[in-house]
Amino acid sequence: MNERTSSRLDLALWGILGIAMMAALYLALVDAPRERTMGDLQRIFYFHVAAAIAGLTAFGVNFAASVAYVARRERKWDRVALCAAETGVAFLAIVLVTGPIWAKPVWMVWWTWSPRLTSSLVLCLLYVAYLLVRRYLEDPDRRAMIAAVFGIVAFVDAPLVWFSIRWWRDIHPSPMLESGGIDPAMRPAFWACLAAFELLLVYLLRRRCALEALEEELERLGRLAE
Amino acid sequence: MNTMTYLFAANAVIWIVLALFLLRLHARERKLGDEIGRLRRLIDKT
Repeated sequence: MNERTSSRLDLALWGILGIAMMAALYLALVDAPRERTMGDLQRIFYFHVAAAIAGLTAFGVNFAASVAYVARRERKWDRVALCAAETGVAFLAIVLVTGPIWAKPVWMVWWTWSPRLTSSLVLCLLYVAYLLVRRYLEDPDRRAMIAAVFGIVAFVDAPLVWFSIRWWRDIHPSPMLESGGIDPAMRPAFWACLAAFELLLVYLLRRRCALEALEEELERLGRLAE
Repeated sequence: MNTMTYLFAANAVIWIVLALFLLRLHARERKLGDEIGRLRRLIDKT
């Protein structure tokens, strides 16, 4: 893809993302009905869940790119894995802060060591560690291989996060989508937020990968200048 | 604190985290762009 097409695609994506975000905000904060027991506090759920799913998607991309790197040893997969891990950590940070803000008035505590909360925190810390490991390894080939193996192993925690509320007793709300427990009037807000956050993930990944391409160009020019 | 305060706080956190992430990307893009420009000029001169 040439530079002009790429920047046009970015502009189009930015426009669609803007519209999707506005629609998601309107549906979640205005259009969705007020929940009977939690009131307006329940509206946090739309963004909290959407950010969690976007974060897990990003870690899934990291996992796929890590597997691709181990199989093919192509540097581009290492770069994609790095971009996905950074973006995923940003989304998980949103989840880990908005969760306690919702929990305090509902559970009367900011945090509890339940399986879902603990596995989510561990997942975030694993990818923070992944980014730190990358920073302290200088040899690019060694760094890429160690990071790929780390990324593959770290992703083992992602299914634990997803299934924790199904496998163990947990204070965290049960999976409402699968059980059909979500009110039909709330569904448009939920799906709009999910779509907006997945689009945001695509946009951020593209921007982050473009930054990596610039780094690569800088390395190439650096070698030429020497 | 009432529920609206918590809702506002959660929304503020979301937009602050996303804004910081985008600002950091933008700052790094600018820095790298400047550095690439400087190296290109240096290579053209030599």
